[in-house]
Amino acid sequence: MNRPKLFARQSELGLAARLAFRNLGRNRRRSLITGAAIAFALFFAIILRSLQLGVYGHMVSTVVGSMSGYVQVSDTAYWPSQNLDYSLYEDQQWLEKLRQDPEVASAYPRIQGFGLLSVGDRSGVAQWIGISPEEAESSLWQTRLASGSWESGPGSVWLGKRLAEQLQVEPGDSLVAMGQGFQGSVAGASWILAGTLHLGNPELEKRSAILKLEDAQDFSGAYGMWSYVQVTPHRRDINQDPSAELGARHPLDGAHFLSWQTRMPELIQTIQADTTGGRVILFILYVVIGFGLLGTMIMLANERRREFAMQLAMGMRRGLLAGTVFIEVLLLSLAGAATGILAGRIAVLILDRYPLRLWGDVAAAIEQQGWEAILPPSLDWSIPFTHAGIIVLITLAAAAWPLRTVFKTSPVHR
Amino acid sequence: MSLLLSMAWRNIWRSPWRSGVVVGAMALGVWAGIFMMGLAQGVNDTRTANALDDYIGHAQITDSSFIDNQEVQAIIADPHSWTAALDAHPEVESWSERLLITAVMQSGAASAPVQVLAVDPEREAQVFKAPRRMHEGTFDSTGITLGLKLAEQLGAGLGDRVVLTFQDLRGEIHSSLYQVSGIYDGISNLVEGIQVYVPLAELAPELLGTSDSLSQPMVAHQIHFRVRNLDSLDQTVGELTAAVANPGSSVLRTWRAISPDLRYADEVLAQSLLLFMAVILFAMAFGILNTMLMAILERTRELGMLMAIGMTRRKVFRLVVLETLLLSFAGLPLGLLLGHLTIAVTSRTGISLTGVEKGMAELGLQSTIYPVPVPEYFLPVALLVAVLGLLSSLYPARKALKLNPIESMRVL
Amino acid sequence: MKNTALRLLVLMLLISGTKLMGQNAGEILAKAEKNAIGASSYSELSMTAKRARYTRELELKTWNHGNKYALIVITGPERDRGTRYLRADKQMYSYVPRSGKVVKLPQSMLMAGGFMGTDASLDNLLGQASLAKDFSHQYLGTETVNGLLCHKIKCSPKPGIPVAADAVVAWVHTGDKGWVRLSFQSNRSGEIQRMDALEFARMDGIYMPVKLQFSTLGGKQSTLMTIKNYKRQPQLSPAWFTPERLEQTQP
Repeated sequence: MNRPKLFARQSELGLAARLAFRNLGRNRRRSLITGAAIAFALFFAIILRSLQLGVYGHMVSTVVGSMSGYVQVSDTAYWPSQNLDYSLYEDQQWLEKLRQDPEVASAYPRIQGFGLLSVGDRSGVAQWIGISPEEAESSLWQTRLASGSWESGPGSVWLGKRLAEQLQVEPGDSLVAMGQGFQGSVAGASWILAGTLHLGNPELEKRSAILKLEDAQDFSGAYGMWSYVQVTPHRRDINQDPSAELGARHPLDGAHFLSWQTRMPELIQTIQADTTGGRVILFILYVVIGFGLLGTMIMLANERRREFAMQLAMGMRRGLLAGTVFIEVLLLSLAGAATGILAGRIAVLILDRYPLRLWGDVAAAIEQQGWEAILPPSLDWSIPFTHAGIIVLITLAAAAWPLRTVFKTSPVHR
Repeated sequence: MSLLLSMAWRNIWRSPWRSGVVVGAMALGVWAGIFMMGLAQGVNDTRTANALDDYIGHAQITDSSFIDNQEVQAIIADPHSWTAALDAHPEVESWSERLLITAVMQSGAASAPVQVLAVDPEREAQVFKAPRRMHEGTFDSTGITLGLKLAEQLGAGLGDRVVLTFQDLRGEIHSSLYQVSGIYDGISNLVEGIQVYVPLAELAPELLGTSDSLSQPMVAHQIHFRVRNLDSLDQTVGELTAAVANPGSSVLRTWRAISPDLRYADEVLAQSLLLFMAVILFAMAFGILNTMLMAILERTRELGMLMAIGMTRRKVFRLVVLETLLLSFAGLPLGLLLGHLTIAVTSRTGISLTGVEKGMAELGLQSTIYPVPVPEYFLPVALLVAVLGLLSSLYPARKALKLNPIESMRVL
Repeated sequence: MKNTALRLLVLMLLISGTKLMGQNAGEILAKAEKNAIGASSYSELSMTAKRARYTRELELKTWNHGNKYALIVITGPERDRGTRYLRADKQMYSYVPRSGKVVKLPQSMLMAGGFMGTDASLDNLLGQASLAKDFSHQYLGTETVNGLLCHKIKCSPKPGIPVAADAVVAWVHTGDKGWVRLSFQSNRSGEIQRMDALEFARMDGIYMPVKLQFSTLGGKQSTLMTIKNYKRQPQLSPAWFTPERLEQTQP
């Protein structure tokens, strides 16, 4: 009769469930406190993890988003040499179709190469990049303008601030450019400086020259060609790589879609280098949370010892009592998890809308690049669900305590 | 008062589990705070140190004109005065001088522009880690050492001949023969494709245009040095600058000035660590609040009884607060001890995650973190937790007191 | 903006004008190289570069004096017509018609390789070195190459000579046509680059190879250079080579 088995018959499960519900309802405050413990534990785990992954994501977007792009569509031979000769033929139809893909936030064609810019006696080697009018209108480039204007006629060039200083030119001055053009031809032109740009990175500022796409094509002799198309997807989490899918949906002859992960493994390495620390921090959080949950369970057990004793004395089967308690904990943890997910999601969305800001001169420097000095959270749904799962498991494990109490309590309690 | 005290004491011992949980919650809170700070310091230090060790270095002496425009002519005017100061300073661990020129490197099959670092390999390897990561061959004075990526690009292997063509100090074009004696594997592909190392003793005379290698004045574009204690770098730098009587146009810069990018990355990650710390502290606060709530709730009946026999609400309140205080006297030191111990152990063994470690070791990156002892944080963290603990117990205490004593006795 | 001048000039270095006598390998090579230093000339060339993805053709006119002075004008194709370069000792200039200005090129340009998408890269392999003087020789008998019977000589660079190849095998015509083939070799990979003289003709009294082929990567990339015209210009002196001249010279 006093078998340690939990549910003797199927119907006992139903009985236990009803008892559990009733118990939870009977002492609302206690149930609420326990559920709240679980919910808060999950809440903090979600916030921590989302911020951790968000910082990485932000770092990546700063580096990747600014120059080289998340996904690059280029000729199969283009990367890593970035040789102008390996360019794509313009395909406006394909581009339009790509832009209409719901996963694509933007897609800009570009052409780029190296050349020598000179003014009188002074000269400097620069990377010239021809960008399309749509890209020039994007907020990223608009905010980068340091002097001069984006409104300008053909044959205009915009130089990185330091390059302009090195050449001692100001908007309105003319420069001569020459370089190796497409398939060995000679590239030469005379350009007017239309403006200078803040690029944040001093190296970039020393050697960048931005042109209109058409002017660049004309200069290099690569008429009707693009070096690559820079695609920015909507899903930009660091763990995600939509390049293969996009490539399958929008094939282009002789071209492939390369993600930043493939092109810049150094970034991944930097993130991985940081991961150990991040995981330890998460571990610390879980120790704190875990203990909180365990403590709650211990308290719960202690508080209800008398109640258990009474029920046992009244003849309730120990197994059934244990089963009931287990179901209570289960229900609480599920309810707590659901609340935690909801609260966590709301918090993350708020942090996304009103992000935490960095302070100090770091913030100013980052802002100079045209990027916000913020710590944005990651909106990945796998975060709340993963941690909800972990916390429910921890809670159920901690339930061993009250269960143990049930089995050890004698019906006669002092 | 002493009655309250002895009651508090007895209460604590009457229910060891409850007291234990409260002590545990506080101890854990303190531990978390301390360990986090030690960890954060360790992470920061490790990351910075790694980046510096590879190719930035702790600090650098150059001529001021070399900074913006790396002209061949911009050599340090009086390197000996600097190296003498470096040798004399106890905090300086090692230093290495370098000539930096751009050249064209030709192998049998192709050519490529390169940046040549002419160094003394032994000294260089003491200051920087990058050249120690050899893929093939050795980093020494027998020949030229280039990156794996460049070697592949040029189709050059160990033992092959390569020709470096460059402009010397007089403006003449020189070509020199070198033999590939080492191929290194760096982390950054960008650097690997461009940087090559040659022995300083061989390049210097060619650069100067003299054939007399015996009476060699010291020629260098950069002098890098390494200090024993990165934390006191600024102080060391100050002392060195003072020690050099007439620096002329040469300047001494720390890594923060050389690589602002790294400094920013460092600070961003430091700020985000503070943020995470805050999250953990909040979690801890809620944990304590929750524990206290349960603890008080559990005692509703008992507290009700006390009030029923005549104890004033105020006294009961004080009793609860006193108990919490006493418990914190146990919890806080326990937490400090735990924190200190865990940091002491892990700062020696290091923390590493095996999954990540393998890939990282290949790249020569440190994935092991060494937390740093942070005794200066003991008091602030303990105080913080104590305050949080007390505050967390106030609310439940007040709630419990609002109850009608008769009702609270009826609670099951 | 690449240094074609040096390249072409070294090429001229190897034009043989005299009959060969004696079997001494060093003498054979020395004679093959003899005519060069101090030569002043005008020539018209065409170059065809075959690459993996494209074939490129160029027509040029050049004036040379010795090693260090050259003026090169591109006459075709249409897009590049009029682009010209000047090397005057240590200075290099270029003029691209569409820019309308003479640009002084930085010193580093003097050192780069590969002229305008071709791989006429003799320069990369020999630079200033002389096959006769800076190499030790091993006579390997005779062999027929490109339809001509030649002396086969293996040249190994003397210690310290800045040449990337481990060895150069030269085939020099047993008659008076001069060198017929040069093969640049590395110990690890065998032949890396090769220069072949495919046709010979008499230009302005000098017997010279007029069709030259440079090939690399096992023949996957090659450049064919054809000399269409050659005239000695003894009146040319360093003073003739000025930036003003560069601007004035028309294609």
